[in-house]
Amino acid sequence: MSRKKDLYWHKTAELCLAHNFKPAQVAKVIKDIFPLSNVNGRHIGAYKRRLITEEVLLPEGHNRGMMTSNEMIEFCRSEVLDEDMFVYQCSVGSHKRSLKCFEYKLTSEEQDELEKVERWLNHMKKK
Amino acid sequence: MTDRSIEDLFDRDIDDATISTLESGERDYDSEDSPSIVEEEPVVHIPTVISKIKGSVDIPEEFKFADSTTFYSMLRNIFRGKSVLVTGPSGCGKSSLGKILAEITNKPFYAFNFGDTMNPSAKLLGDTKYDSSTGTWFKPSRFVSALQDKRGAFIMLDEVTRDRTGDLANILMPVLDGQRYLALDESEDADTVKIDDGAFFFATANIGREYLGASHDLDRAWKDRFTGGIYELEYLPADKETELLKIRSPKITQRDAEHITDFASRVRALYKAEELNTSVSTRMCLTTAELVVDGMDMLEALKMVCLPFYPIQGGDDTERVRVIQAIQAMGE
Repeated sequence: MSRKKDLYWHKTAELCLAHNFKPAQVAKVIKDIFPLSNVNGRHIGAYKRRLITEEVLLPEGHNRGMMTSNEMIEFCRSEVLDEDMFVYQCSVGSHKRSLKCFEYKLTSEEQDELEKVERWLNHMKKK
Repeated sequence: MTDRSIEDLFDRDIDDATISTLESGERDYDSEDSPSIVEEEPVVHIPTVISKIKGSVDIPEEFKFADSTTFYSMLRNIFRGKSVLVTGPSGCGKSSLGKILAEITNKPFYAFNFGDTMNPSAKLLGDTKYDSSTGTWFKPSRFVSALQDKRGAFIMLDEVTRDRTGDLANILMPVLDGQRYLALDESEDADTVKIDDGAFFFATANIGREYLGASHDLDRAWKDRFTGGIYELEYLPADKETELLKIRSPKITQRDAEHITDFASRVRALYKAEELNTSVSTRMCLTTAELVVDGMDMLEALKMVCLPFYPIQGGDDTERVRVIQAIQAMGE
């Protein structure tokens, strides 16, 4: 069984790298397509090394014509798989600091519970 | 063999007979009886839906799963539009799981609980209303709106086993199978609601002798609609449940959390041995932890939360007596 990690932005990154885009440029394309992604140039650089090791990409690059960033964004957007977009949504969803369904337990108002109880007791005494 | 004899061997002229022996040897090697060399195909790494989900999606901290496969394969089923049916004892986290999945997948969440209705058809289809100026008119249900939500709704059908009329299963058959429509009445020219392609169904059911009676199981045709998406949830293992108590009640001590889950494990063992008719749920453990955090004594909290679930009967060998004994054992 392979231990290689597969991520939703890999296909997009591969397309850009195959067109001689630099990792920092690739990161911009990915940010445009997956706006809440936390992928940066270093992630892309590491993935580029993996593709070279796997002989998917040539170290010196291909002879494909250079696209502009905007053209590449449009091209990659049209090539994004439904499953990658779904996984991106889930990735963003799972990284939320707290899930709404548990908010009643995790909101900051709940932190000061003792104070709340004390206020409530004082209110009762006044009555 | 000495160096000299090796040199002799190489320097010597090879005669025809030797050559023919060598050739025959080659033929022997290639014959069918000999092992042939099979070239192994190079292993190509192909990303899959599940490998991508595993790589990118973290299991939420607020909910602890017994194993990660349940969570990741559920996400896969949501992506593929395969309905999911989660069965398990009451309070093991089935409905919470639905809410979490809806939030992670960013789908609009609609919940329909069938434990609180006497008339499932009105809940699913709608109702006829009367207006003095316009006359009688049909008001479609919230369920119909959910089916048509263009954003692809996450529809939770909670506690489907609570419907005793059988209407629920019959109405939902064409909704859940490949036909994907909902007929608003039984007539031939009935209006039908086309279900949005992105709509996803997540059903929960209580399975167990205390919920379904002697059969302990669901209708086969109903189950067929969920093939590949049926998950039989159990209560969490003790260590995961302890972790969950500490997340949901951060002020509880490790020792108290362990005591609560230890008690739950003991009662569940009695339930499995059919000595008790109902078990202690994760929800009951969470409630006990909240009471302890708010200052109640552990044993009192356990009694307050758990005992009402066990009937009051005379005698020393009743279910309630067994549970009280389990609680008292915690104190010792």
